[in-house]
Amino acid sequence: MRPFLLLLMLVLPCLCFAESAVVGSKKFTESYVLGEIAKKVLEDAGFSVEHKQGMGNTSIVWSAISGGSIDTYVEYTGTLAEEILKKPGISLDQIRSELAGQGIGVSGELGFNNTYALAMKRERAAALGITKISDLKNHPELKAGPTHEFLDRADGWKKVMAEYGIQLADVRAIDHGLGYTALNSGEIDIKDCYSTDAQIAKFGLTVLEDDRQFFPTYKAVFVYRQTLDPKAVAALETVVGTIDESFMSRLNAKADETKNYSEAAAMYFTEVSGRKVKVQEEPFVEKLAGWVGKHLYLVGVSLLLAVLVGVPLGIAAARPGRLSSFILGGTGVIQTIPSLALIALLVPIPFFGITDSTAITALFLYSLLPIVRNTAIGLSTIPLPLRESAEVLGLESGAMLGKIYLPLALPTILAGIKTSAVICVGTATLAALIGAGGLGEPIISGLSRNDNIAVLQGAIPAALLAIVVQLLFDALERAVVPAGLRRK
Amino acid sequence: MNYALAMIVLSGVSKRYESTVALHPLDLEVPAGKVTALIGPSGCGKSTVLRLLVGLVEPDSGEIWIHGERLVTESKRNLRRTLGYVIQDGGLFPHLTSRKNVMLMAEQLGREKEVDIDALASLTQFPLEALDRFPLELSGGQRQRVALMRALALQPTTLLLDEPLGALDPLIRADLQRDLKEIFARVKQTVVLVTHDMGEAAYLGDRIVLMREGQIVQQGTLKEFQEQPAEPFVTEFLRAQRTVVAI
Repeated sequence: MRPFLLLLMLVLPCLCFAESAVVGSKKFTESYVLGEIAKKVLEDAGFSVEHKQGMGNTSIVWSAISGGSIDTYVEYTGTLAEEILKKPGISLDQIRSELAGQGIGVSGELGFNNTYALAMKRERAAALGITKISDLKNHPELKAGPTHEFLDRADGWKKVMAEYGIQLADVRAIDHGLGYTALNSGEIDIKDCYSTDAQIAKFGLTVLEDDRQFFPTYKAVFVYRQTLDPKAVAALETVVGTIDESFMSRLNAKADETKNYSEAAAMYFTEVSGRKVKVQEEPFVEKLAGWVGKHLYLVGVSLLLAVLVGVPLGIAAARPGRLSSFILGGTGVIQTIPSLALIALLVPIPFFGITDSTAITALFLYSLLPIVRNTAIGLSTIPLPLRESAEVLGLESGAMLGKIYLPLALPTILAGIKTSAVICVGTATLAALIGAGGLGEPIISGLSRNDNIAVLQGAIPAALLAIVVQLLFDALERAVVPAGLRRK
Repeated sequence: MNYALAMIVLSGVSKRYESTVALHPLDLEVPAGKVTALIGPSGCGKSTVLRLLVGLVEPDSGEIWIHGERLVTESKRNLRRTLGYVIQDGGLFPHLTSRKNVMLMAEQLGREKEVDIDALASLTQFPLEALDRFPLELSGGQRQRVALMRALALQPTTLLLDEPLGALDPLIRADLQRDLKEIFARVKQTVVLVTHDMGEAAYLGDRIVLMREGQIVQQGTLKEFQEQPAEPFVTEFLRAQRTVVAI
């Protein structure tokens, strides 16, 4: 017994103190893939590693590393200079010394520059002899299909055209994913891209050389907490200088094609060091369960709030008058705001930002109208003889509401809640836009990658969920609506 | 006016709905322990009298006294609890069983023990096994019996019945008329019954009050109506009511 205990005392500390590291990533394919690569090199260096995939946009991941909930992730020099340090144009060394003051270290460049670029179909570019952006000057007949964002932003399409003195006659905004399809089918000749987009490798596109260095550089680097073990930092540094644009594009294409980020990471190790790496990824069922769970959480919380607020508002709105018009009008106006716009309006408000609260608030506001309106209608359509009977009996107003009015209006109120719930299940897919997760996650990322399978992975469960919610409410109705009121 | 003998007194009570006059200033005494039947063609104001008494509408002028207390907004709730009110389609709450409908007010006031629901059921000839059915599962006649039980549950001093048999078919109606007469005889309450059927008024009422266009035309018994009509309208009204002959 004693030798065994002794052994345990020796082994346990080793297990407990096996050093751990947490890798983060942003919400796009490249960040996921690089996160998986970081995880693998750290594991090889003897660390136990957790990869928090797709945490959100820059501000979220940056606050995570500042706050210490992750140890490292891949960031871009342009983003560090402009968004984090607000000093556009500073060099990597300057970035490194600025961030050192914040306790954050910066690795060397991984190699590629993921910046805006213009892409054309290879055969088309070759036929016209176009290799660089300034070559476009001689081809005003080319059809362009930049993204809405690129067309609109101040440093986007118009600026680059002005800088190079190019004028194209046919320019129309088109979605990023669909734009690639249009480019490939020849409907458009040129579009903006990120220089490492998977589609560049997939469709064999030519990225035009930015011969006037118009676009800023976005070189990928690891940022890490300076408290991170030097061995871990050294492990991360092994990735430095190993990935160029076309390699990154191929890695992204691999990830999109296999839907498996660790498989893309494995491809990296195969090509870099020729060694085979065992691929592992969260099984689909677990991912699906995660999405559904988050979706139900968002819907559940917002619906609960909507019931708690909507029913009393509906009671107040049941009496005709100015208050009633105000309540019904107000909730109606909310409903007319496009959901995307409502979310966009909430995000800049300090309390909300990119959080679950924003998603829940938006869903809550959308759920209000059916509940408020049905409560008001249910109460105001109670037949006059019943109201008068209740009044003449001499019931107190509280008892009248609780014992007579609300039970009589219950089927209508429940129908309103059911409507809200079903709408909410659908609208909640938009929560993924602001990183709140749920079934919108595969839909949004699928749309951005033009990947219909991924879209369906979110859309089909969301539709099924809506049906299940409907059935649950039907059952609830049978359970709580008094037998005397049920339709025969 | 003798308030002691009269359970309910209306004095100079008038009511108009927007441009229509429902009641001209009207005086009426309802004697205690008797059944007073208010009758007249539709729109004569008979239902308005009852709605005034239960406080669903307020008079434009005049005073209403019930049990020696003046009916005003402040006294309304307490006075209502001394009244039993039954309307044409019963006004039963569809989400409550018959038993719950009858017990509702007693439960609210914590006076369940005062209600003998079995006795009420036997008084109104309502089958005990139907007490736990919902209103929609009952016949029209049964629903009115439940409404009566509900009105009688807390021993009101006065019963106010607004066309309680109006929606029933003739056979059930005759049954209920018979039962009502028995009930009135047994409970000895003051009853005000609104009806448009002279046969019913004569059969159930100790006194008949005939109204027309918001005014009282004549008060008395059927015999007095027949022998000393106050004006030609009385005879005309009696002649139009063929059922009178049958009784």
